Amino acid sequence: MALSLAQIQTPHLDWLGLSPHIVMAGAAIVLLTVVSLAGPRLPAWFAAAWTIATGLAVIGLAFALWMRFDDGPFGPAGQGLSTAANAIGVGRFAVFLIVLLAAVVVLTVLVADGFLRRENLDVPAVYVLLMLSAAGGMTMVSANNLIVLFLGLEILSLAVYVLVAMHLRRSAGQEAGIKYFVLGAFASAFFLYGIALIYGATGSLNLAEISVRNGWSGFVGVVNTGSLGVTSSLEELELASAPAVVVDKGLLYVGMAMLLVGFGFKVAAVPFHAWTPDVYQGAPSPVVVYMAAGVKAAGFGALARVFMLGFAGAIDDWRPAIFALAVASLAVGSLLAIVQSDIKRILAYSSISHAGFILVGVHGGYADGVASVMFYLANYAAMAIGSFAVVTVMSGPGDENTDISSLRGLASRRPVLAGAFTLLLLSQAGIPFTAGFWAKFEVISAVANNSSVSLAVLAMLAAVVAAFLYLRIVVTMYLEPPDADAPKVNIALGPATAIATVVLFTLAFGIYPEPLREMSQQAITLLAP
Amino acid sequence: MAVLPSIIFMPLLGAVAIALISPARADVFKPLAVAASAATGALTLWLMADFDTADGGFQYIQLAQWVKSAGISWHVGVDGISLFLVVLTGVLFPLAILACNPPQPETTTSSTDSASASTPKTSTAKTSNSKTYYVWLLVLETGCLGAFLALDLMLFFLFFEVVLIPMYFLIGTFGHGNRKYVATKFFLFTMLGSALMFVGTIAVAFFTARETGNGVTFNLLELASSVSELPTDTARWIFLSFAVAFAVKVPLFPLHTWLPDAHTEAPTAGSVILAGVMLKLGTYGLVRFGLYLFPEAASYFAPLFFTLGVIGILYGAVVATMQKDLKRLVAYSSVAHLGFIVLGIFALNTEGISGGLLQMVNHGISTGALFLLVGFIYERRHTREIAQLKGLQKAAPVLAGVFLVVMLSSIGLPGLNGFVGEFLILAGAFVAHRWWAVVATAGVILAALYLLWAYQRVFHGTPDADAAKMTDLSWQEKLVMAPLVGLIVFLGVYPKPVIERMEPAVNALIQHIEVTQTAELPTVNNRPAGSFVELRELITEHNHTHDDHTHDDHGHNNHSHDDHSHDDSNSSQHGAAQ
Repeated sequence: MALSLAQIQTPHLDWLGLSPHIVMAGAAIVLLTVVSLAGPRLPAWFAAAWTIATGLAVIGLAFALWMRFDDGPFGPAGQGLSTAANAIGVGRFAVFLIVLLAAVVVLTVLVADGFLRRENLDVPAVYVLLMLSAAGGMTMVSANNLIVLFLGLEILSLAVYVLVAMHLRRSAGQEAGIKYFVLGAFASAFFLYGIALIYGATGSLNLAEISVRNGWSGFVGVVNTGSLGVTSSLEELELASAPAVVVDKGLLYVGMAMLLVGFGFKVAAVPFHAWTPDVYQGAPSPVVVYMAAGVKAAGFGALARVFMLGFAGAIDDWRPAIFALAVASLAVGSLLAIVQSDIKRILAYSSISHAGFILVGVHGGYADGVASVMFYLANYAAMAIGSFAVVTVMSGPGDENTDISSLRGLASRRPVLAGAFTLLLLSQAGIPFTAGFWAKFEVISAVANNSSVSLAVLAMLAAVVAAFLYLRIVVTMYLEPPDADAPKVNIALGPATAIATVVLFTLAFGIYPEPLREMSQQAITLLAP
Repeated sequence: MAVLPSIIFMPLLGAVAIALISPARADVFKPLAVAASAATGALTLWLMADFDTADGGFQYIQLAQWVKSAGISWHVGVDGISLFLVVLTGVLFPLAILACNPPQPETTTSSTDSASASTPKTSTAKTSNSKTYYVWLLVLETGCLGAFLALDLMLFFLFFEVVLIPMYFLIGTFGHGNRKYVATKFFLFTMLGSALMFVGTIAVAFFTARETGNGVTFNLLELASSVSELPTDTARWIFLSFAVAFAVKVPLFPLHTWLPDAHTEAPTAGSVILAGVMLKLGTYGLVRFGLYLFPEAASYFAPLFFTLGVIGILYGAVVATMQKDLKRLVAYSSVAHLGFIVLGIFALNTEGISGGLLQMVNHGISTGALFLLVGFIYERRHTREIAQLKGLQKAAPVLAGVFLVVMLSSIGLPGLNGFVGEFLILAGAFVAHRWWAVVATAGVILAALYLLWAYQRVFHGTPDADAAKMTDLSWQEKLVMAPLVGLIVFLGVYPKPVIERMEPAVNALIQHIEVTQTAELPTVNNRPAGSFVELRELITEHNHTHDDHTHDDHGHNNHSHDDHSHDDSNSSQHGAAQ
């Protein structure tokens, strides 16, 4: 008995490589345990402080990992590591998004803390779910195996379904939760079916293997040059010399399409966007902060990973689909936002149009396109967190006051808040000297240089339409007189810190984008199979 | 060497200072704003004096890496083409700031109830408003100066686009009438043009890098020497993307519809800056980034542009004649004047381009002054309707006199600045495209018609009760108008200081156009030598050395074109023979 146990080979685990995932998920479990045992005896700030500390710890670990892949004793620059039987691959691509997700968690907590106090909600479970969801997202962006990726997707999604319905006294939140859950489950089913079909077509769930089996010869060059950062484990898989297997192209395409449906739902790309305005409007505002910044980053990270790595050989086959999704998202997102009157719905449609922009970056293809997606995600996260944090502050007790008229004359009531919101909106519009301008610059240059100038032109035209909707909000804040009975706006310390952080980020990288740009260009190490 | 960054950032420094001062000290905002912009103006004047007149290249160049990985650099420099636009900006801003106090935002009719509710707050609102007014004006100045001085395509684009924000808020917060609609229209029109230019800017840098195999760069000077590697069609498309952005800004017919609205509803200082400086961003862009980067495409599309220019001249003049609102009339006269400038630029010869450049400065001075005067009248009478103004001459003779001089300069009366520019433009256009110049000359006559008629209605006649009570210009207003009137007369009599600084740069530009593509410019400089040059010297009073210089240059051009014949067919035959 003992002998046979010893013969079972356990996969090698690289603990440092897995540490961000473990810390984030572990901290969630610990918090849940502590809260259920100690409950009311804990100070009110404990859960929030614990979550912030966890987020900062994960950022610290991730930076250690980032340095590890740099030139130095650990190996040549740009390399990643793969662990847990090649199910998890941590390179700078994954590390970049892990840092982003952890930062989103920290800022969301800052916003949520004030919100929960205002609403008299004492639910530490919010923080548990937030951390679990982020752990799921981290798994998604570092998964090299489709089943592991699906696990991450489900952990991320299930936690968010509950978060959306977190506000027990608001029926709109319950409705949004159910809506998001039903549609999300539907999309997950598509995703899972897609995985099954791809397994049927290629006989593998490993992204690198899938890539080789459907005829991508890129790996041979990769092994020689090391440009994608492939470690010796590639030889263990005998991928480099593996011949291209004749796969069932039909199955592969249907599977790819179904994966795209699943991702399209998560990132809110048209035509899988229908839930977005309703759920954003109904969900508690801090949860929307996380959904807009975190879920989108995880979704796009995983999408880039699967399509740029697993289906690298089929890029000419999926590019037209990305083109169509991008144009539809840009058009619908910016046009429909104009006719909305609820600020959360406006921002929801604007997030759809941003999804279109990021898809434009995906269309740019490997290297430039991935780098631009990374850059855009980081900057978009800052704008989205800031904008929805302002909405959280403005929405007032009950989280109901989200009509655009509630912003009337904000400039004279709360000049600093109005100024910060204006800067974030201008960044979303891509006005120079904000980070949003450089995000657009990256995406447009990637797509114009590598794949399609016409898509670049369409995207910029959509950006003009979108500028109109941001101006509309600015007009309301600056050029319309305040209502006489406008409620007093109270800004708690937490949201104020979050807004100040993202405003600083937006300005600093708007004026000098070079550091972030360099990082995003290194954050393209997709795999270490 | 750091004079250009000081010029660019001096106003911004003032804006930051004003932004940081407590609203309780609202009385220092205006002196501070005037001081910051006057210091900038003084620096630009020093720049003009220190400028090397013999050098046709860029001077005071400053180059530093900025976004290194994308090939974007902080690259500024000035040459004879941008020098006077910089000086114009430096001079107009302090005058505009000095002349106009921040207008109180008009409360819209729908908000009367809330206005009464917020009466206790009005005093604080006023001060914070005057604060934003000066902050935005100074930010705007930084943006304009940055755009004129940038020698990096992306840097230019950044400044070109960012000027929208202050102008948007100036029109939106301090404008008249339907200001929200107008501000948004202005913003979206301009942004639509620049969205295409954004793609064009990226495309020209990346595609050129691909053709040459070097790293990506947005450096204007490097691109200008390597951009000819691009395939002709690509270059033409990219030129169009730039040209549309600039045509919206100019504005060129039929993209002009935002202009009358924006000018009319803007506060006086906003109109002065909009007409005097911001429209020049478009014409300057056409010269700097259209002709300089894409000479072949520019000459290919030249017929389109000078035709639109001529349409603009006639259309602007005819519509201006019909206007009931004095400010709107001046706004439409801008459409006509900018049509002249575009016509001169796309004549693609030294006279046309120098005339266009000179006219940019002239238009800035005279239209800026006209908007100021209309603003003064509006402040006194609270109306701009021509029909309600009558006989102002009796009550305000100084105002009437100044208005007359400025108006005559706008018409192009010989001896005043407008004449020199218009003459050079028409001369250049006549050589290049005879009939277009003939038609455009009708625009000069129409300008006399609508401006004189407006003057007659507003200033002549017997004054009614309101007009009789009108006060004349205050000493402060006289102080503002004096330098403008002085410049109008000085540049009309003695334009040499301007032209001699412009000429080398324009010649270098023409040479660049010819070098990059020989034998493809059928209409440049293929005129009979002598007759025209003499005429021009008559006006510009060149000294002997300068004469020699132009003659030499001229001879050289003729030489290079001696073996070319005079029209398209012949020169294409020549190309085939080669």
